[in-house]
Amino acid sequence: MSRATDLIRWWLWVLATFVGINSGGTLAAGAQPSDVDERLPRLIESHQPRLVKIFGAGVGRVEGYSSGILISDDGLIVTTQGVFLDGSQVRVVTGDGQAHAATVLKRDRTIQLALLKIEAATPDYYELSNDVVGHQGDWVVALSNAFRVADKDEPLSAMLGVISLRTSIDARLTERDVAYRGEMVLIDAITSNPGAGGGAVIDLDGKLVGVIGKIINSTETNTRLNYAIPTHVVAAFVRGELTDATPVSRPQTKADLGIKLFELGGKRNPAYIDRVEPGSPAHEAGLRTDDMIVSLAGERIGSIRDYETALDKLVPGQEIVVIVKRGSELLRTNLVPRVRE
Amino acid sequence: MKKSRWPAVALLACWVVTGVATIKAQPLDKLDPAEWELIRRAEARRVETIASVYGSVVAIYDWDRQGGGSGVIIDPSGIAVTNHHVIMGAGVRGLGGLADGNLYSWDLIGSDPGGDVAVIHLRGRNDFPCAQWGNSDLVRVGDWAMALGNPFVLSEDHTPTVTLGIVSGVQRFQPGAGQNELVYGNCIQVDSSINPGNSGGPLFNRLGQIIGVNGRASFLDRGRVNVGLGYAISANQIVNFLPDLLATKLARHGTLDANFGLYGGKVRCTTINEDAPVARAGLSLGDELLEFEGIAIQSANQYLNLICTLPEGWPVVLKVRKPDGHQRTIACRLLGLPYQRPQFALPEGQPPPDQPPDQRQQRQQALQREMMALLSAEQGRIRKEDVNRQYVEWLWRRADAHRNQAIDRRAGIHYVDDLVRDGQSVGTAESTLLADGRWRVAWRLGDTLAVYSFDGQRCWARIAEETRALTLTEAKLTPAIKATWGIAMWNVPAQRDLFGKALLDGSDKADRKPAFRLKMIDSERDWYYVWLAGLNPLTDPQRVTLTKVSADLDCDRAAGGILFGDWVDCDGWQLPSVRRQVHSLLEITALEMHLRDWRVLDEPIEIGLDEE
Repeated sequence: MSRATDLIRWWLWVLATFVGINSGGTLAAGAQPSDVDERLPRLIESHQPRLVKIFGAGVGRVEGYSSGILISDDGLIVTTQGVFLDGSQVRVVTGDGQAHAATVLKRDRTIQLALLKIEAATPDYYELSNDVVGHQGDWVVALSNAFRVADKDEPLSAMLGVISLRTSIDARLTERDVAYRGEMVLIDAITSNPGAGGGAVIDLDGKLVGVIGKIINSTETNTRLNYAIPTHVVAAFVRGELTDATPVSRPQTKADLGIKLFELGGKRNPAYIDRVEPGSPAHEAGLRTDDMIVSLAGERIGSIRDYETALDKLVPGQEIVVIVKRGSELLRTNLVPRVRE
Repeated sequence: MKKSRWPAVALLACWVVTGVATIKAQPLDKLDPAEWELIRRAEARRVETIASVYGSVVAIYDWDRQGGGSGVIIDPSGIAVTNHHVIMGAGVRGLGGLADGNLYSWDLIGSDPGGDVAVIHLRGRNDFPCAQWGNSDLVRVGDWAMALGNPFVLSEDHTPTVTLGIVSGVQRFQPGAGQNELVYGNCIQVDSSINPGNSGGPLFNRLGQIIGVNGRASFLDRGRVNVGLGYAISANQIVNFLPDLLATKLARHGTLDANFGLYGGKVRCTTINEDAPVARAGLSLGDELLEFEGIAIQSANQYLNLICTLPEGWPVVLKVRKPDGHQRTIACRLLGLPYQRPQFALPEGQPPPDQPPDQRQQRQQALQREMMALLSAEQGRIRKEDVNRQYVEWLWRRADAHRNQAIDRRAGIHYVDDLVRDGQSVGTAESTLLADGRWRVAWRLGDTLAVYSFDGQRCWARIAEETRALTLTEAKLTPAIKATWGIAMWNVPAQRDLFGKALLDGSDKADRKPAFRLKMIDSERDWYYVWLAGLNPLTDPQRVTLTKVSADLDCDRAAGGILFGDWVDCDGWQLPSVRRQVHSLLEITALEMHLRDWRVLDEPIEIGLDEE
């Protein structure tokens, strides 16, 4: 059967639940729902034992809880990396409501995943596939403990959505927003919520499409991405094959060009260079006193404030283009920002 | 506390980052025509279902058409439910917009601050489109859930917004605010979009039945817009409170005045007020809770979740294990959980000296004062008797609506019951009921014959050759009379006010099912209770039936109460197949009456005390 037909058949049963087997009108209260109805509830129920709730240290407004998936029969768990793993104790609550102390085996600040281990037999778990699971338009169910609605043996929350896009996330966002640069599965269920990270995104056959990633927040628009890290990437992380996948630069490190601006004051306050530090990236790129910066790394600079905002988003070591106005000329030059001290 | 209009921009902004998925053209020729037909039918059915409930959704505004919440009409007369926090913003009177484009005025009838439910009554029609209740206990994670309402007060013409999602969780608990207020126990969690303005609107299942009322969502750090976790108060909780709310009460939630916790791996009673009814009924410190209301208890949270859905005065049944290993069944009525009364200074309506208030300000002040009066009303008490009595009449109208009115019932009906005790036949009862409400019953239990009759004025008894008139109290304490009077009241409307005009007393259970309890205070200042079941997904969401009659609330007196079961139609007359004389809150059967035979009378007969 072709993929297209597959897709349609899913539509078929999802829609068919609205008809019911006995499509003879409204059912009386208390009537047994039809078999067609059972499929989604059954799927969700059957996956609950493969998921865990994780509780650790909360710091300030950062929540101290998360979701996770079991990936072996002896208690290996994949979840998102976060400060909740920094505390002295990480507690994992399995589907039966039992709490277990967990050991953090591995955490990766780039892919933002962590591998935990509990000492318990866990017969229900996900086999991490190396294949790409799920295509654009497929129905998916996201299971997570967003907002800590479940505490003990209560089931995790289920959301229904479709895969919006399979893509990768390099260019758009800066290092400060997200460290992860790789493949991701965008979904239209709203999973970008506190505590949802580490939850499962499954297709309607129950195959794992991916793991709900850490919240990605755009500082500019205050909007979020709903996504999953694909199963095969998670599998590679677990096997320890991701070490050289992406350049690791510390997200908190800010960039510096080696210039000081001239504080004119006033309403417009354009970004004139007052001084260029000898030997700095700006000096090497040929910038001079009295040049007016009009563009930095593709951002239009109209004021000192624009400049500072744009500067904060730069990544040290990544080459950018700077455009300055010198007299009546526009000059374009490349430079590599250094680490700000 | 008025709701402002929320800019839709905020919502739109959320979608910017997710980008637009490219839609690949897919060849769609692999399905056979039957499958295509199923898809078309499914689509059509969904559209039809939405259309069928669309008209029942109310956009709720205050009296100046400001603010915005939602509601749903549950009865053609205009009874609608919404959230308590919606009427807190809108007031005791306001306007409701329907999908037909019209605005109707509404009055607040009753409210439940603890569970965030309020009942309002829309005026101006007796054929409002209304939606039906579904049984929220049957809702499962993964079921479709449609939320209808007026999010962000988007709608200019009052037409509701539909958001479709799935049930994300059931039996969720969302803690409240203040003292025992706005607690969402045993609620339904959905990923259908719930936004400000959706409050009070209905959550429907795929059949278009109301399974809940949407009231809150998880928001946290992104402002008050949907993030995929909405919560609906379960339909079954709302219908439990409906009788209290229609009785014009400021309802209270129930408590045992005892707490349970996990102790040694068992759910045990950890604190108890020794004066509480449950303690007097037999619960002690350290007892293990096995079952609550017939549901096996695994955790203290589960118990808390369940009791959150029950009103004050609700009769609950607990199964406990004593430290010595013995199991006990305990029944008692719940006490009321108080909540904090508002501490407001009433605006005194003093106009600033240079600027007399305009009409609108005056009206608002008057409405505010009414609201304050409502919120500081004594909790759990009937606030407005006249309004309350309208709902008694409404209940009887709903009851009569299902009787076949077309049949001429002629003069009366004669029927015979077998009296059964512990499975053994112990006697017979022969009864005659006339269309004018007079009746006679010959009650032969063992060797004793007692004949009772009602001549339209008073009851008479002839026992062992002695004939005498009975006082009202004597009559009410005679099982045979109670058992007959229920049938008379059900069939002959004129009989209903016989022992005094009824008040809707509130929420209760009868025959272990939710019921409306009516209370009649007679001329001897004594009480009499009648229980009507129905308008509830656990009983019958459509019909009202008489279920129980008793002279006292808990059937503790020797005479007990009478349960009426399985009403059957007998040529236009309705008779219960089974009646049971029961004792105590547990409704333990003492005697059963099984309908054996009946015949309709063409001519009225003389109602006397002599043997036929």
